[in-house]
Amino acid sequence: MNPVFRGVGIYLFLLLIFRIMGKRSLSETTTFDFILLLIISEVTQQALVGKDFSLTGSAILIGTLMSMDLILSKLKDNFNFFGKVTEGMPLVIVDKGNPLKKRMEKSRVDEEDILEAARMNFGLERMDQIKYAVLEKDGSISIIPFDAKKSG
Amino acid sequence: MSKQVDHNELQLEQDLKWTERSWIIQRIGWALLLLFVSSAALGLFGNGILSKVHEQSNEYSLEYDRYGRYEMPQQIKILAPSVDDKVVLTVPQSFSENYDIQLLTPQPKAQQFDSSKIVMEFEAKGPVILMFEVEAQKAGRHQAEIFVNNKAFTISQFIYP
Repeated sequence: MNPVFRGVGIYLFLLLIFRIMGKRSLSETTTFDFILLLIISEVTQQALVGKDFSLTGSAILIGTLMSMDLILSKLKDNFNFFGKVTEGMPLVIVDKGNPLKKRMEKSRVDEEDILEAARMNFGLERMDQIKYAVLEKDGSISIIPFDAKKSG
Repeated sequence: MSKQVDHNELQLEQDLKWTERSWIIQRIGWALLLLFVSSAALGLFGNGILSKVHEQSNEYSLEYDRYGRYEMPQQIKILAPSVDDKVVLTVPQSFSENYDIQLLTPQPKAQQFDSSKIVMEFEAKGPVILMFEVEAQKAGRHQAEIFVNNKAFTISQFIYP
């Protein structure tokens, strides 16, 4: 099979599977997640390369994957909907000190994750010190503390 | 050159002309990348529509790829619509120097070797498809003749490294 089609197929499949798995799956990479990633890359390599060990073959594959990235990022720039589909959107999970339980549950974030982000970035101690917590597109949690903009 | 180092405000070595030039080069690079990948998809580097060769000589025909890649398995197909009793395939030494023959389906009934060629005999009746899988052992342009029932077919390939 032509390496371009293999590359496109694998790219789309991985895109789909990581999108389905939800945004939290990679941001908090545990040791086991890391091992899982290594295994995935190993399996992917087999499907991508097959029996073709030529230089040209690998150049075609690399070119294909990079082109897919390029095309997708262009599509995301030009069509808002496309970006929503492939990357999702940011989501407010704490609103003025109130954790929004349903959203948190659906996106698999618990209070402990939010408090951890708050401690690490601002040294906050309690939920009521958080004005907003946002689950970003990349799966990280950004915290806006209550007195953040007092000076401004 | 519009190199500006402004020590009063932001200490930054900025060269807008250079940056703009590199943007242009980037766009050209993207276009070349897409061109490369789409020509690969069409088969300019093997397996694709641009690569397929179909050669006909009397009732026999030969199918192979015009472009191949180093040590990549590729198929050569010989089709004969009607065979009376046997197909004799002669592969000269010049061919097996450049290619490693991996697989032959069906297996030949008899084989004969000498210093200049390999002769394989297949017992067959009716329409026949002979397939062999070969791996090119050298990059570059290869030209080799194989004979099917003494009819010469020239396989001309370019092998990418």
